[in-house]
Order: sequence, then structure tokens, then C-alpha cells
Amino acid sequence: MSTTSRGPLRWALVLLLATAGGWAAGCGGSGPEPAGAARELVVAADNDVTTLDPIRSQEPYSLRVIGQIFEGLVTLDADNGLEAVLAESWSHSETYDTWTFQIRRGVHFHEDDVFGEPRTREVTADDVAFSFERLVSPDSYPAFVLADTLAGVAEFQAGDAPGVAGITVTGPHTVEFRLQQPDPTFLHRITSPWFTVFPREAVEQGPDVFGRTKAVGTGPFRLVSRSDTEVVLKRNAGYWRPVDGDVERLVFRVIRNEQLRLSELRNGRLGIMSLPPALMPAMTDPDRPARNDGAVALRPELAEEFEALAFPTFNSHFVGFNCERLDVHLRRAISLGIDRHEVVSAITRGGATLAASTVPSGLLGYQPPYPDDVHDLERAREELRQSAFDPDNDRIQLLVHEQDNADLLGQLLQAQLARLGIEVDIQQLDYNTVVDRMIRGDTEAFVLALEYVFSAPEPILHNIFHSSKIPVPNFWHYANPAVDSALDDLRAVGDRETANRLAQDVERQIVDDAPAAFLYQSRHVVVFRGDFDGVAYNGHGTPLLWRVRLAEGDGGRE
Amino acid sequence: MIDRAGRPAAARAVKRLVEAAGLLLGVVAVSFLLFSVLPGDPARTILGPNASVEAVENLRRTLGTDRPLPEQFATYLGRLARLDLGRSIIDGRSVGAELTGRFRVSATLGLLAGLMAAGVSYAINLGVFLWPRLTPLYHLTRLGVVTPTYCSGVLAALLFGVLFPLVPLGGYGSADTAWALWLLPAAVAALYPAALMTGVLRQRIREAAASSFVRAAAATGAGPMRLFHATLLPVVAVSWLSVWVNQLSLIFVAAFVLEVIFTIPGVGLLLIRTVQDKDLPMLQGIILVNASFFIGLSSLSETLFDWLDPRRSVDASA
Repeated sequence: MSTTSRGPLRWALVLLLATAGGWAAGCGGSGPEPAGAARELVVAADNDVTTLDPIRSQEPYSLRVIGQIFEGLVTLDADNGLEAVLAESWSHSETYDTWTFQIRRGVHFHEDDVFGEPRTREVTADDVAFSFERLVSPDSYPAFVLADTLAGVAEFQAGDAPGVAGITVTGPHTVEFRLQQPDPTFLHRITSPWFTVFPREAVEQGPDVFGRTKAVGTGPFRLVSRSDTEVVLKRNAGYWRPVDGDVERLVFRVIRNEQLRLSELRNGRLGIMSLPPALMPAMTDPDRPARNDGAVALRPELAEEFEALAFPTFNSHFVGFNCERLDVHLRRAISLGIDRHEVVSAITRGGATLAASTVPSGLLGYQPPYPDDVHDLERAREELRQSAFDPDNDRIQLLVHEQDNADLLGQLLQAQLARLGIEVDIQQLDYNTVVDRMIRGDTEAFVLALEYVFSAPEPILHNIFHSSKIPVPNFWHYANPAVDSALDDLRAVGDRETANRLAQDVERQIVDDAPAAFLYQSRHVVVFRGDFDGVAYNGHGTPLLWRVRLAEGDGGRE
Repeated sequence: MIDRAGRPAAARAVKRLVEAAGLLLGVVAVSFLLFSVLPGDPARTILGPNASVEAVENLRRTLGTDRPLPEQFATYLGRLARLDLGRSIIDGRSVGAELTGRFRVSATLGLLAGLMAAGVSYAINLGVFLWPRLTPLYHLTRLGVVTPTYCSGVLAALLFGVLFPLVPLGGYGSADTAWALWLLPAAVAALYPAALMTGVLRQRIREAAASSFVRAAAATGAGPMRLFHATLLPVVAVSWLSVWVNQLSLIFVAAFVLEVIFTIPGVGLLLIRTVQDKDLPMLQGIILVNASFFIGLSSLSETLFDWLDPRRSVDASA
């Protein structure tokens, strides 16, 4: 037995040494490397990219990818100015209720088998009509954007009409949109990556293919492959316009854990990542706050290799009230009693700008009426005295959910309002249940954030404060005839300066009626390798990655 | 073979099939009821918080969720009878097609782990039988019993994914995935069953080795290798196999946990995403497919052991 036992022991030793050799190779840092990584940019996605079908996209991670593959009639550039994309030009009737678009000639879809030979074709007005009709179809998530604007959508959605009466193709490259009411800001309803153009041939492949394994658009990048953890795109060789960037292969990689994202960035396996509030203290220089131009100062040890920028995006974070259950004095008292500076610093760690009203600054030159906090404890106490709320016996129920740090915000507001003598009971529910209860009016107050798909003040205000929008998206059940009438009048004002001034007046009235206490607008803060050029996100949070230039000889992933 | 009631094995198999079908119907009914009382309206989930009440009601009509519950259940059963599991409310993909792909991934991982567990328990017992000096190796495998998968999985991911990056934490399931990548998660999933099976096999072999027929075989001059394979293994194979089949369901549960840790696109990872998205048709599909799998496995193993081990029916009639 003793002679035979040496054999296996010797083998065990060899196996052990081989394993140790493997570990040593691992220590050298030779991680898994893909082949052909030249001029590759890897962007972190904080969560799953659920779909690449514009009508089904509900979250920002898929919209950021959709924005690279698909293009619409118009979009927003890096300064949030209007940019013509598939529309070469447009005109409107004198009353702003008919808009006619000339579609750019010579733009082709990405090459794909769905077209047969020669694997692509030119974009026509029919494609625009087909795409917009699908975008307002009964099961389309972004349909709400045009549901109250485009003529014939209600009939189409109810199944009473075979198509949308308001969309007419008047020539091979001309399409006309007829609206229900005048809308001088119609173009600013369709700037988001939702309102893009896709070919009928690709959509007809069915929902198991289109948006999952196939996404055919006209954008600067085309889809190569998609898995649960990665979406791989490559430069569209036949793109219709010259671009500044030099990224050949673009990868969106899903990494949910923020520490792992940071470690991948530092290891050179990521080029760009978002900086969530939780990482702000660890990464940014506490002595140098974010500047107005968007530059964010990183800690010295990071600043050598990386750069950080904060981009304003169109959103509003607030605590909303049910106007039918809380009286105006109580609502005002809460709004005046909140210290927004503390909210911004404690909840967003500096990744936001304070906002006491809801329309983001800079939309078509719009300036909010209250540039600073409206915090005023004296006035808050006075309003509370006039309210029917009895601080000794009454309590307010505040609904919070799992998104946008709503639970943390709820706790901070609870502490702040306790100082004013208002006791708050927090109820944690899931997001959909909170929305459902808001719509039913079965709540007193709720923490919420809205991402604005509109890039003009008027549609934002009309959509959430006009009484015709009760109960959704006028979640606060807010009705003021003066505001309704001012919002109706705004639909006929074409002059930008006048429109902005009137919108400011409406916002002042709304802040005074306090259907919500508006708190802040979050900014999209990103960190990227310092040798990249041209990194920019527009107000919709879409990264303009076709503008990115990687450093010479650097692929973003070494 | 006849059972207590004097029925032949075929009749018992049919009875098991009927029982399994009844159990499955119960699962279908409970999951359907559960999802109808849970908060969250599929139409509102699809259209989001901005959609008007009319738009949501239109879609509810299209989806049929405005109909009375019994009618919805009948429609659901009708669809199931046609093997139609419906479509995801998040991205419209077919639940059946999605689950087929996902289940293939989980099954690959589970079966690989199952084979590893069987292989390891066999190899260690053979080793210890041939060379008793290797007995410490047997004791080492006991570690697998006391380490839960979520612990060993995270530890393995940290060791071989982060500290010594030999395997990627993701990238499984795509066409260019090297088969070797599956070995680490499969090995982790195999830890517990391998330890358990090694113990059971060792126990049975020691019992059998003490019996007279083995001593007789040894006396005829059979070498240890032949003794192990020709005399001992056939005697203990049934109980070893039954432990293996019992462990299969545990292996699949471990595989679900590991899919989340290693980002492997199987049913486990899908389950997490589905719960996060509140994608009810997909969730119902997952529950149904899993229930079918485990109920099927249990019925199959019962039938198999009736056939393999006649003592079971004798015991039953005693």
C-alpha cells in the first residue's frame, strides 16, 4: 500500500502548485479582457437596461442607450438648445395648431437583415408617422406626452379609430401634425429620446425581438449585442452627419453596486460612471464645492486621473400635498417651515440645486421666481395658527417609497417639521402603491420626484397644475381657476419673453397656494477619465457619447 | 410489484401523476389569487404614473384585468392549457420563451453541480477505500455542510472574481462564454450536496464492507478496485442515488443564489429582477415552472425508486 499511495500524493502536490500558479497569475491583474478593445468606451449603468424599445422604456438606464441608437425629429444639444435631427426644417400655422416637418433626405436606417437587400433604406415621412402612431398607442408608456395634444389620440387609444387623425403624411418627406389646441412649444414636447423614429420592418419582428435583441434606428451607434449585464454598440459607419467623437465600440455595463463601479473605474475597466449622492463625500473635495459651470472638485488623489462634471437635468423633487385634505395655511406653513439648504446638503450631498418652485432653471431662458429658499419660520408659525390643523391633536401622514431617497427625505422632513410643531407619521410603501394612493386621493402628503420630458415651462405647468389634469398627473388635486385660465392663455403666446414672464407669474401663484413644497432639482454628476474630451449630458439625462474623444492610443479600457 | 391496495406499479405511477397535477393546479390557483389581491395594477405599471385614468382603463379592458376574478382565472387556465404563459408587462417579451432560455442556464449550472457532487463523493470514497491515509480528505468535505451557499458564494466571488480575478463576475450565458467559467459557481453549488453524499456513501460502504458477502468476495482474491466497483457499489448505489435526487432540488435553490452573486442569467436572477419590476405575468410563470419542475422531479424519483428497489413496495405492503 505504501508504494501505491505516493502516486496520488504526488499528483495532489502538482495540482496544488498548478492552482497556486493560477492564483499568482491572477495577482498580476490579468483580468478577463475582451478581444478587439480598440477605441472602446465602457459606461456604467447603475441598474438594468430593461428594454431598447422606446415605447416600453420606463427608466433612465435604457433611455440613455436608446439615445445613442435612435433619433427623433428634434432633440436637445449639450446646452439644452433645440437641435434639428431627422427634421430638416419645420413650420407652423399662425395659431400654432398645425406643425409641418420636412424630413431630412438621405438619412438611412442602420444596416440590418429586416430590410432584405440592400439591408437598409432611407427614412421617409411614413416612418415618422408610423413611429409617432406607435408612440401614442394604448400600451405605450410615453403616450401621455401627446395624449392631450395631438388630435385623434383619444379615439385611437379607445379603439374607435384605426389611426391617429392628427398625423398626416403629405409627401414622401413631409409630415403634418394637427393638434387639439394651439401649442407654441410643441417641439419641446418631442425632444426626449422616447420620441424617436424606428422602421416598421423591425417592429414587426415582434416584442421578443424588437427592443430586446434588435434595435434599428438612425443614430450614431448601432446595436451589436445585448445581455442582462451588457449592451454593446458600435459606431454607425453610415451615419448621416460628421461627429467629433472617436469611440468605435461603446459598452454599457450594468454594475449595481456603487463601490464595485468605483473600483472598476479606478482599475481602468470603466470610462464613465454616475456619481450617486452616497459616494459624493468619499470622492469630492469638501473644501471646494461644485461650481456653477458644472465642474465638481474631486479629492486630490482622484483628481490626477479623473474629472467630474455635474449636468443640470429636468426634474423636481418635492413633498406633495392632497389639497382636498390639507388646507392652504397648513400647506404654506410646511413649505415655509422646510430648510431646503439642509435638505440639499443632507440628502443629495451637493448633487442638486435648491429649488422652491418646480420648473427647472434655463428652460428656453426661463428663470424661476424664487432663486433662493423661501424658508421663514415666523411666517410658517403664523400660517399654522390660521390653519384648521391642531398641533396638539392632529398628525400628518406622509407616504414615502423606495425611490429617490424618499425614505431619508421623509425622516429629515419629519425632524424639521417637528421643530415647527407639526407631527408627521411616515408610512413606507412601494412606489406604485404610493402613486395609486395619490391618484385615488387616499393620502395627505407624499414624497415624490418628477422627471420632466418637456423642455419648456408651459407644458410642465399645464400638465401638473391644470385642474383638467386631476387626478393624474395633477396628483395634488389642485384647482385654482385663475391658474387654469392663465395656463390656457399661455397656449396662445408665441413670444418667448412674454411666455416666460407669464409662466413666472403662474409659478408665484402656485408656490403661494402650495400644492407641494418644492425642494430641489438633482443634477446628473458623472466621473470619467481625465483624458477624455467632450463628455456631455443634456437636460433629459442623455449622454452625447458620439462627441466623446478618447485620449490618443487609449481605448477607455486598457 | 403491487402496493398496499394491491395495485401494480403502473397504476401507482398514474396515481402519482394525478396527485402531481392536483398539486400543480393548487399552485396555479394560489399564485393567481395572491397576485390579484396584491397592490399594483398591471395597466398602471405599463403606462406609468403620468397616464390618464381613461388611458389606463382602455388598457385594462385590452388586458382583460377589468373582468370579474373568476372569469380572469378561467381565461388564465385556458391560456395555460395552450402552454401560453402570457407576456411580460415590462417589455412585452413572451414569458414562456424567456423562461425556456433562463431555465436552460439554471439547469446547466444545476446539473453541472449535481454531477460534480456525485463525482466528488465517488472519488473521495474510492480514494479513502483504496488508501485509508486519505481519510482527512473526507473530514475536510464536512466543511461543505456547515457553510451556507450565500456565504461560500460570496467568498468564492471575492476570492476568484475580485482578489485573484480568474473568473468574471458576469458575462455568463452569452455565446462566447467559455465553459470553464461555469466550473466555479457549479463547484460552490456542489459543496453542500458533495459533503452530504460523501458522508452517506461512506456510511453505506462501511456497513456493506462489514457484511459476509464482501468478506467472501475479498477471500476470493478480488483486488480493492474490483471489490469497490463490482461488490460494494451495486449494493449502495440505490441509497446513494436517492440522496443525489433529493439533493437536486437543493442544488437548484443554491444555483438561484449563485446566479445573483455571479450575475448568471438564469431563473434566479430573473426572479430578483421580476420582483423588483413587479412583473406579475413573469413572476407567475417562474412560480409555475419551478413548481412543475420540483413536483415532476419528486414524482419521477418516487417512480424510479419503486422500480429500482423492490423492497420499497414490499415494505409498503407489510
